[in-house]
Amino acid sequence: MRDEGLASDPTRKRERLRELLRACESVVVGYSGGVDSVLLAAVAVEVLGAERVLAVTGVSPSLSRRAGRTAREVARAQGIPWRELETREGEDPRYAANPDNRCYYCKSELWSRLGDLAEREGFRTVLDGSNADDLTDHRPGAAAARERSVRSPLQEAGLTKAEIRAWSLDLGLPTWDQPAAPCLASRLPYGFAVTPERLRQVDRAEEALRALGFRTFRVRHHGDAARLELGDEELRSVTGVGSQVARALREAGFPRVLVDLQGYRRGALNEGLPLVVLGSAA
Amino acid sequence: MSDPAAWRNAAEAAGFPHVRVAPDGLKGEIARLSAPPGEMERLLREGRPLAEALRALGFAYVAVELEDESDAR
Repeated sequence: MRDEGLASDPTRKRERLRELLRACESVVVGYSGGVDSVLLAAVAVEVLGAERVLAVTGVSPSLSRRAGRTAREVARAQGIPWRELETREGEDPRYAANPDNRCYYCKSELWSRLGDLAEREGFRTVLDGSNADDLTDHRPGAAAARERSVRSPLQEAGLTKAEIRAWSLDLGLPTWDQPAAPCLASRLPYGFAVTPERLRQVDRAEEALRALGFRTFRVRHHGDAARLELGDEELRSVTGVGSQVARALREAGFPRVLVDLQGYRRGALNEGLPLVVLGSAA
Repeated sequence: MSDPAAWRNAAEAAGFPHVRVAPDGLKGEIARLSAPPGEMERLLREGRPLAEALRALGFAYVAVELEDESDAR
């Protein structure tokens, strides 16, 4: 639970986080390689020492190749003990059906496996990188963490995303300005089944766009069509490389490529619920 | 909701009389716009009012089709 008595003073929040980590004694950190979990793991190493910290990245088809690379490289560069752990959320039909609480089933699998690992290897506490801003967001995965006694020390210390970025910059962490990178399943509209092949299509398509120089974007999977959400700069310049984009995405498995006129925005697939029905269901 | 005449009117009113509108996606949730050569850039630059109009007609998303010009016959 977040300490409401904390002042908005970031220095006090930083000290509070250190106190919380010290009390945990030894920790397994659910580590995606994103800004939150990297800071958490780095501060845990500072406070507890590397031998009492293990950062673990859950690996499944929903992890993009890029996220996997970032997680590994940052851990190595920062001296954070790190390991990959295969997760099998895709074998759970409740997850694969892609309901709007899909994250709950994914996180249930992740925290269950991390809890087993912590118990087996003698770590006292499992941590996630939820922050204070996440309290106001729709996050069904948080319930899975609570059910498995996973602690959220960044949130408990009252640290917001902006404060986490500022602290990361102070520590020289390369993730300080990293954009949000939710899992690949987030590119599929709710109700559209999550399959390894569809996730691979999105991963291939996003890798191809990155290779063409795109930086701010999402590839949304709508069956035969890829709907691209592009940042303002990319939206202005896409016509110059339109043929290359269309070709690359067709090779990734999308016969049609559509550029969204409203551009990139987080959580845009929520706008499609419920889907309007103009034609036959796919 | 499924009214091609209304989609056409929306495109004309937004200043894109030559843009065609058709449903796409899993369940018709996307309004797919096909623009003639030369119109694409203007559509991406000035098409947000048209997107709003089509969303008001029931589409969740409005998007322009990107074609591989090497496929052009």
